[in-house]
Order: sequence, then structure tokens, then C-alpha cells
Amino acid sequence: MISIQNLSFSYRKNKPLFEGLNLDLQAGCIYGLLGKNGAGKSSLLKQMAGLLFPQGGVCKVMGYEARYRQPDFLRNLFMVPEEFYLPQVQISNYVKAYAPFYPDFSNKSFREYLEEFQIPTDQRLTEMSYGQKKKVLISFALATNTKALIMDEPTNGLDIPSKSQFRKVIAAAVSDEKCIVISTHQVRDLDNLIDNIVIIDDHKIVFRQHVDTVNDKLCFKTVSQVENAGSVLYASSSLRGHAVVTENTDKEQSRIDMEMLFNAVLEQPERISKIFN
Amino acid sequence: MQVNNILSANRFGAYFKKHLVDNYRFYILSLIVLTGILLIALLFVLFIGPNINLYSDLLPSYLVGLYVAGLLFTSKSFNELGNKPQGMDYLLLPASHLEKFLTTLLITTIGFLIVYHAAFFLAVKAGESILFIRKGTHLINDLAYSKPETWIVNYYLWFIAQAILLMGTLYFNKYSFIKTFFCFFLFIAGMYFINSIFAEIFFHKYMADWKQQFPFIGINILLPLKMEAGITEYTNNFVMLGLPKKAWQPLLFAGKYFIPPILWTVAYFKLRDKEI
Repeated sequence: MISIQNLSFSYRKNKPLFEGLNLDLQAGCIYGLLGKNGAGKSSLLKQMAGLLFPQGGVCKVMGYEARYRQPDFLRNLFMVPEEFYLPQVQISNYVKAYAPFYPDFSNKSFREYLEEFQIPTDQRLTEMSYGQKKKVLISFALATNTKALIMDEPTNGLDIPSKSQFRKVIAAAVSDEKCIVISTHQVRDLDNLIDNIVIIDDHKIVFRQHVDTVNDKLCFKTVSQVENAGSVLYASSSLRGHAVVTENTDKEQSRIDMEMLFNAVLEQPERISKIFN
Repeated sequence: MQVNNILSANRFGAYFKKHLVDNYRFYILSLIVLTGILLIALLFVLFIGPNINLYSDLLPSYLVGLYVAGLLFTSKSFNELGNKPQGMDYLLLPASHLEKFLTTLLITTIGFLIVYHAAFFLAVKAGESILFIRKGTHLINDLAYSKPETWIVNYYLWFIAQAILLMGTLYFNKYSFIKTFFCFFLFIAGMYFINSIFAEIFFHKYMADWKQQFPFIGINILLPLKMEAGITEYTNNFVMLGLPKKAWQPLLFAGKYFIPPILWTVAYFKLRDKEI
């Protein structure tokens, strides 16, 4: 679905953001793209959408080179940017103006998503808060039924109930034909939502695994003493004890803690790489 | 079904409609403001100016309005690209670059000319009515008897200026009007100085100074009075050594018909290469 080969890109000379980056994303999955501030998450999503052009390598989405932004490519891709624009019109007029460009747009689904997010449909977009506008855009994005859906920090500006609603609608929207990529630094917002984790650091993809594989290979638990926890990859202390990530040698069942995984990958890249390869 | 990724009538229609829906408030407001400003300007000309009683007397106001309003309006094109969220929305909308560009081109040329003429007509009619009420006189339409060749050149120049501004809006996301004019001035100055170098090389002896030339027009030279072996005397008469007809005619033809399309094409390719 999305194939990035040997991608090089920089905003400034001698300061590369990506160098020989390779990434293949398949349909039927929800990918969580994680990375530190400035790691290039948004830039990578922009490459996928054709808003930035590779300086080396190629970025193909559904067989189309993204940089050409051909209509047949764009009508099968929707991007929800972190900072977005909505015209100063009513929701119904927004749909009238934008929906004709998306052949699989479903008005019924759009109404259902708005209802789920508790957005009144007769309100003008200008009269809405940032969070409400974002929910309108997410609802529209899902209703377009595009094959590729790219979201940059979609939970920013959403209140706590809306984050749960967001997870619910995204989980319901995924299908075998659809590839959803969600970039965020609020890793906990993606708990139980994504099925693939991609971590970007130091100009390249440093981790790309299915959550089942992560569960097989790593164990996330809280222990009273780190020394007794076994092969610890990363530990974080709190009042409840020590949260640790260890190698899952005993095939224990645990729940992935995205934040712990992220920190483990960045702190122990060689050990993580050894465990997963 | 195979999708036409260059130009599709349905998609172009949908995009044009979307553009109008997004901008209709701005366009209506612009029409009202333009008509108001033109009316005030015409009333000023009719009542303050000396003996205005012909339509042709209004031509300077008409042309100033055409250039100022037209070029300011054109400089507002692709404004969305100067704003990241709007730019992303614009570039990611599933219409081809050609459809997006043609929409802007049609609106800033044909659309603007229709609206401007409607506004000017309304302003003239309102001005005439006020003139009749105050002075009991009408303006005489002498333009029906004038030769259009004498003033049609202004339209050629307007299209060239429009094309330059449109291209400028794609090269400069902010303050495109000022930046484009500055670049245009630099371009003309550059051409003038390059031309002066060649003029000096070829005609140094005959030129009073290096400024006696202009690109594509000609060179002012001193007319030789007597030329003998090793001795040349000059009169004080300057003559214009202009381009020969077979050189300036194709240049004029290209200037009239090719420069705007060439600049529009450059602007289109710039839009295609736009990154945000």
C-alpha cells in the first residue's frame, strides 16, 4: 500500500532528516508512528501525502508516486494534519463542496461519526472549538472511505471522552483494504488501537513490529525490585514500584505499554534489534 | 475505471464550484467595494476635473482602475499556499494541478474583466445620473467612433502584467505584489545594463553616453558627418537607430500573444512543484 524506498530528505543542507529510509506499510493495518519531537514524523507523513518531495529515493502510495499528487491518488488518500483548515461554512456546505471529490464518501457514515462525537450538524464550523472542528475533520476523513488514511497527532486538542470515541471510531473503520497511519507523541492515546508500531529515530526507522510480535518477545510488568526482574531493557520507577520492560523468555502474557516500549527502543536499540531479528 | 489525471470536465466543474462557494463572500464584497471606489473616483473626475463631457475623458480612470484592481486581485491568487493548513487543504484536494490552476487563471482574467466592466458600467451610469441631476448634462459616447487600435494595447500590457503577477504569487507566498514588482524592476534594470554593455561594445564611438539605449527599442547615435580614412567627424544630431521592422514585428507579436501564455505555463509548473 505505502512503499518508501531509500528515502532521503532534508530541510537544510548538511542536516539530513531522512537518509536511506525504507518502510513498507500494508493494507488492513493501523500503524502507530512514534518518534521524538523533531524526529520527522510529520515530514514522513507529508512525504506519503505528496506535500514534500523526496530528495533521493521514492515514495509510492497505491502504486502512485506521491509527489505528483495525481487526482486518482488523492481521492484514495486523506490526511488529517495537526494544524488543519476548515472553511467558514456550515457542515452541510462543507460536505457539498468536498464530498464530490471522494467517490466512496458515505453521508450516512459521516452523520454516524458526528453523532458518535456528539457534534451538532447544523452548527457553523466557525462557531466550533478547535476540538469540535477536529472531530468534524476526523469524521469526514473516515467517511471518505479512502484506502489510505494518514493522521498527524489526531488526539491533540481532544478531551478525554473524545479520545475514547476516537479509538472506537478508528477501530470500527479499519478494513482489509484500508491502511491507517497515526502519528503521535501521546503514545498512550494509541493503546489498544494500533496493530503495528513504527518508531522513527536518528533519520531512519529503528523499529517496526506487529503488536503480537512485541507481546511475544517483550514483557511489560511492574516489579518491586528491578534486580529480580530478569533481563531488563528499560525501567521506570513510580510509587507503585518499578515498571520494567524485559525480554519475554518465559512467554508471559502482558499488556504493551507504548511509552515503556518507546523508551526501551530508544535507549537499547542494539538489544532490541537483537531480540527482534 | 481509468481516471483522467490531467483534466476532467466533471472534476473541473466541481472544483470551480467549490472555489466559488469558498470565496463568494470575498468576491461579492470586492465587487461592492470596487463599484464604490470607482464611483467616488468618477465623481471626483466629473466634478473636479476640467470640462469632462466625453466618455474618452474617463479612459484614464478606467485604465488606472483596471490595472490597480486587476493586479491587486491577481496578487491575492494562491493566497492559501502562504498558510500551511490552507495550503495542505488546497494541495490535497483531489483535483489536478491543471484544474486548480485553470480555475484561478479564469477567475483572475475573464472573471475579473467581467466583474470590473460591470462595476465600471454601474459606476459610470450612477455618475452620469448624478451629473445630470446636478448639471443637466450627459456624457457623449465618442468611443463608438474611435479606433480601438489606439487603446487596445493597454489590454495586451494588462495581460502581461497579470501573468507576471500570477507567476509571482506562486514564487512568493507572502507580499507577492511588492516582491514581484521588485523582481520585475530588477529584471528590467538587468536587461538595461546588459544591453548597455553590448551597445557600448558595438556603438561606443557613436553614443553620447551609455544611457542612450533601451533594450528591444534602439540606440541613440550621433550621425557621422564625414568619414574618411582615420578621420570621422560627427554632427550634433542624434538619430534613433531602431530595430529593423523584420526584427521588431516578431518581437511585438511574441510580446502580444506569447508572453502571457509562457508566464502562465511557468506558473503552472511552479504550482506542480509546490511543497508545504
